[in-house]
Amino acid sequence: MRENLTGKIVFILLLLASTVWAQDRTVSGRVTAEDGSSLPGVNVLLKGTTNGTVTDANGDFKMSVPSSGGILVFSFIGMSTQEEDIGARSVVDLQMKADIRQLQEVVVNAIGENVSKDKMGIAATTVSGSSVVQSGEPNLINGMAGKAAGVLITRNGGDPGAGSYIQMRGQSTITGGLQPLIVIDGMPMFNDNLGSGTGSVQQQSRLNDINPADIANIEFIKSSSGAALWGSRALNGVIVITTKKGKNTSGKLNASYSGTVSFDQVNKMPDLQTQFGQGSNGRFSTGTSSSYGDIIAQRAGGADTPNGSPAYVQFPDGTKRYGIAAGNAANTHGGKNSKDTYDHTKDVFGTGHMVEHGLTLSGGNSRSQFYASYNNLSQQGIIKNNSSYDKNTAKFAVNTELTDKLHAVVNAQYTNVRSNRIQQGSNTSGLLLGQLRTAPDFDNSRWIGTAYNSAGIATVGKEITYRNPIGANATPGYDNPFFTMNRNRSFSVVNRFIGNIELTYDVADWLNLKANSGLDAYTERRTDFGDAQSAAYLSGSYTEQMVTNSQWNTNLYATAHKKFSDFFTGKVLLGFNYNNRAYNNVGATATNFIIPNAPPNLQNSPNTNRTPFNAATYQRTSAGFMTFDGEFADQFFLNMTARAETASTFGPQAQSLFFYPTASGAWQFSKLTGTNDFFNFGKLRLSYGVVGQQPGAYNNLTQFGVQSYFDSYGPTLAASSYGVGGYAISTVAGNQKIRPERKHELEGGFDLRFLNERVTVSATAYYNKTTDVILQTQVALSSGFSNTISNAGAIENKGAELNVGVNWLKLPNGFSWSSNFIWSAYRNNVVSLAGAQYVFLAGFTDGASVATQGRAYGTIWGAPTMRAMLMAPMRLMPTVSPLYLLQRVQLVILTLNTGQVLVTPLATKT
Amino acid sequence: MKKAINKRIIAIVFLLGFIPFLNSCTNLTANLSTDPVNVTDPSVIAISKYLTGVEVSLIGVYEADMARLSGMWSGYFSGDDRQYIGLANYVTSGQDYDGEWSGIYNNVLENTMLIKTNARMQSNNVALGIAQAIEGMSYGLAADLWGDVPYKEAIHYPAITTPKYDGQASVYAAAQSLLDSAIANLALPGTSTGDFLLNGSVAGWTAVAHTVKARLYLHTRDYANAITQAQLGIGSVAGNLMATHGESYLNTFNMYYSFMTYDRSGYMAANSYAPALLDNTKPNNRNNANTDETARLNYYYYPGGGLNFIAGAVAYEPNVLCDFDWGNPTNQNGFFGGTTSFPIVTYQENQLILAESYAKTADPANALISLNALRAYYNTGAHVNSGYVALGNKYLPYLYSDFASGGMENADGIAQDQALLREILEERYVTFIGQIEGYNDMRRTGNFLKLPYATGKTDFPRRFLYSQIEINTNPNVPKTNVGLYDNVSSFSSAY
Repeated sequence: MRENLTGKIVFILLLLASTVWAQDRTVSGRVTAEDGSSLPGVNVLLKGTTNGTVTDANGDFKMSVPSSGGILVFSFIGMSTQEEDIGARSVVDLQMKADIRQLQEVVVNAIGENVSKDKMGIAATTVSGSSVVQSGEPNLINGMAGKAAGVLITRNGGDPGAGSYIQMRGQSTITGGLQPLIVIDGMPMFNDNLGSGTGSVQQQSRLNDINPADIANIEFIKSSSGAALWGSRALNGVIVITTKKGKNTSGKLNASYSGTVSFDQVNKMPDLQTQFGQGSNGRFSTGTSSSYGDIIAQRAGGADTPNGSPAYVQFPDGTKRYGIAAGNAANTHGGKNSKDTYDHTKDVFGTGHMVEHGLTLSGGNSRSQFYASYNNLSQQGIIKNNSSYDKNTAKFAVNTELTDKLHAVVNAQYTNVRSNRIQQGSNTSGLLLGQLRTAPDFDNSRWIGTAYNSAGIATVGKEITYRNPIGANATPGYDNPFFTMNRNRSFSVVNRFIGNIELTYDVADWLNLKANSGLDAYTERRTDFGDAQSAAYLSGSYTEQMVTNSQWNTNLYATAHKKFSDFFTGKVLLGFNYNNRAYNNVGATATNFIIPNAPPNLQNSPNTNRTPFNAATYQRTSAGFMTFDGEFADQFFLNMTARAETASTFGPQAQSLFFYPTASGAWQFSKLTGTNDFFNFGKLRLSYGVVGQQPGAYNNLTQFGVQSYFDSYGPTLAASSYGVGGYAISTVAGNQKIRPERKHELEGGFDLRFLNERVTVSATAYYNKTTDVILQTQVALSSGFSNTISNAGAIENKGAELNVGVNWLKLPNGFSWSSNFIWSAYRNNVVSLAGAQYVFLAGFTDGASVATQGRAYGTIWGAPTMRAMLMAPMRLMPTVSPLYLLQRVQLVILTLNTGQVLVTPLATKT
Repeated sequence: MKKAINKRIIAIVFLLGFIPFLNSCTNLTANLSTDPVNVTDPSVIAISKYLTGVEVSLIGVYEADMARLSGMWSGYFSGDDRQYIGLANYVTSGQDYDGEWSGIYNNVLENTMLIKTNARMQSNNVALGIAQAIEGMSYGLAADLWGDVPYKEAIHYPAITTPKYDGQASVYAAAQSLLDSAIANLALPGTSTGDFLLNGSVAGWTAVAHTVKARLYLHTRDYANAITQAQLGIGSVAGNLMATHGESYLNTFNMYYSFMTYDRSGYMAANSYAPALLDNTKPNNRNNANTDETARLNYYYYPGGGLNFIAGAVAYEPNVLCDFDWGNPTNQNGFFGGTTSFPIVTYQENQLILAESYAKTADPANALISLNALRAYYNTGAHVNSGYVALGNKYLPYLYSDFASGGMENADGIAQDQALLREILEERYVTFIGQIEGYNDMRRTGNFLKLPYATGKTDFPRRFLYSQIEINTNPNVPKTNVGLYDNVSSFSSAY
């Protein structure tokens, strides 16, 4: 289920504490440029206050200041900000100087170190936290959408809290994870989306546990060259998040509150026909699955004629519904008279809303600063009941100079998320399956009643569906969407702590040591309750499970830098990284409820219907890394990095250390060509890098399990029911030589700035190829196994990214208007699958999303479908083509100019 | 100055400290590559667990898709929907045999190898013997169906990833040798815990091993040895190797039942030769004054069909009746019912090996004794479910004269001993309904019984094709004379 949300109204209230100063004298002056010309529009501010003004057309200004004087701060775009002590003066003239440093935007690299953007040999894309907040999206990931070239963000669904998919520069692996590594304040954090599939509930993306308002900046490191400091965890790039820190407010406290209210409605639903009643072949038939029965407009109108059977259902409002005779050749309507139709697209959807409160406190002095925030978000989904997302986050950050040389930063944040979810997707209890397949003349809102059979025996609280209209059958077919919404409950609660400590020691002015150690740990408790009457869980199912996931990460590094001459400045960083991840899942499922309407209780089932389960994985990575930065003649910049890594997931017979080298270079050619008012800056860049992806945990091992013999047509014998309970070795052989996937990427591009920095252009082209892609491959059956996990596949991407920024207007009062235009495209190609015809990714046997050689990852694959004439006036019902028996082909989805949608084989586009 | 030097020393010490750090990288990640939840260490699994697992797989090998395909090609069943229409008409490719090779080599033989290794370490000769017996059966079956198959280099992954193929005759010889070892080891100390097929009976497994040896000698036309071994083989139906089943889908169901009723309803019926041969209302049926096959017909087949959803006219359906799903009395459960036990190696087969071997060695007297012994058992009605006996069950002993020209079993006037052989083979044919052995007989006898081919075909499949996965991954797969209509070498000369 996927909707676009519109109708969004956002109110943001912002209150800022400020201090008011006494004013009792006037100071004036003129501001000029270096060439003596007057400068209009310069900001003039009395330091430490909000008291300020702007120079006029002649560069003149006049303002009130306290009798004691103070300091005036002059700022203007492209000029270095200057401070002037007023002293006793009443006239303060100033000549401003152009500032190059101000334009040298500072960004952070993959391990969180500051880097000058203009010296980088890779494309850097920064998104500020405030722009994410301003998007009005309730969660972080969706707020990042559309803000960076080459970054694709797709929401998994319209549920409150539903996860999203982040993809940078195409798909770089086939069966492994496709999500980028998230690094927050120098420390990797989980962005799990555990347990999502084609059926069941929408799972959350754990990155959304972060409060967007706590974020200062987000850096998208798409290039392998930039990401390689994280080695085998950086295959899909790295997103580096820097959280907000306190500022020196000279001891004063800043407090702010923000509140947001937004409303969500379904933007667009599929069109449903309302011409034909329930039934088939032009005849009405109650209780059938299809909706191409009689023509509703031709019915007599009025109440339906009961078929005479004493069985009926009585609804809570007292009305009764009896069986209705089916149509026949003479009377296609049978006993159906009513012309009423129901808009099933609106059955369970209403207006969702979100209320958010945020509070921040910050402040500090020159030695210590702190930042604290609390955020509460409460969202009700567009599904009218049992669809909600409530998130509380608290964050505390402090940075302090313990001594002149020792600096400490502590970040800590806690998140609690509680969410109610609704069954969806390919699932007979899925919301839309029952909702959209209901015949237009059936009223879903009467979803429960007391069913009386023909002997007059009552069943209280019986689910009523379009397949079971008077509750006479034992099963509902598909669940009524109202039943799914009200009775099948899925609840989750997440508790999460993320924190780190960073210590910096300045050994000398050329050498500094840093240690950054942190923890990300969460628990998620999930309960899924399927009512005993529900279609997917007939007789009832209750699962309760606890997922815990945690990682410790430590980075230690030393940085040395020295300017040897005007011609050469060098910087070397040596580091060590240790990362330990532990995943646990324990739970139990009970089915076949003894008491159908009892509260969720694992003991409410026979012993044989209780299934406990547990799983655990432990993964550890350790690595040494180094970087070298060289600046030559202040216009050539070289960056080289190398990481040597080992991990517990590498096969014991694979080499134990893997190297991830990179090199990138930048040339500020504008230093050679010179600049003018039109052309301000130009840089060419080129980079090459290698990143990887670790094998799954325990791919090196062959497992042993309860033997189950199944033939390819379905018949199965479970050895747990025979003899002493049979075990067998898996038919998949572990691979002692399994090694990480490797991605090589070459990237080139340029950055230009024009018109006094008002226009920026950044263009990048790249090619990357992942080899050693981990796939399950066939082995000779007679050798004893049927498959092994091996480094066999290859996949490549080529693409381009263009970013054009325009600053249309910047007024001295702080108002500015700028636009950022981004464009990106990539072409993906599956180069090799080691002989396999295709690798199944998701979906169904026919119409599956697959990887197949020579085509893009995610190609739709299945049996060709054709349209066959069934009857007038219903035309062209889709049916599986006879080609089904012969071949499987790639499908394309075509929309004809008549509005018809056809799914046809690629070879026969018509 | 002094302070600056100190700083340099600190820095140098710090940087040197990185070198041991890097060296210790690999130590930090050691000992974490063991799965904390799933079994990855085979030594923690008792031999008995493997034995149960292997026996379940053995049931699958003999009762699942190989048996259905054999049955469609030898007149026991018809293919009536989807892929089964094609398969019944000999439309088949290597992919149809991937699961079958995996069943034999992965599910059975890889695990018997583990049993043998553990049993030798633990001096458990009985478990070793049972594993060897199962290996002998399985390699023999692979040789029956595919001719040349890997034996010597098989099951040595990862040391050997592309095993060489051994000639069919040498695989048969290896199977005989495995069965000899099995018989020898079964006589030594050990435990058979985990064996559910014969409830741990050492004598039972010894007899089964002898009957399997006799079966394979019969296939290689070594009739003298076949007789010797069959005389040591299964002596009564109590010793039959039967696959037991229960009422749980995807768990214990009879695999034929699961296929026809639950998984692929309508794919397979029995508009085929075997039921008509039993049906006394059909021309050229095998009923006669001494023989009434009505009970057997109705136990194996359901005339008229109507049980499962089969498109078109149905002459017979395999009898899938079972009390818990269809409400019939328990004593009317059909041969293909959900809980009905399925034969793998039987007394009935053992008797018919004797009968055929004697007949082929010009000893019609003993051939007839062996055949009549089986008929005497059939005449008790114990070979079908008791609810069918009253429909008509008669197997009076034949006299040698019944096979003389013009006799009860020789209306078409062929040589007397040929008529006897024909009846023995025909009895084998109806005894093996649903079993792979019926298809083996058809091929190794050059279709002596003239079983009909699929409509429009001039020959019948002489072998199973090699698995496509095996072809894709193993360059040693034979490439010549391995077409569907090429005989496996041991069956290629005249019967």
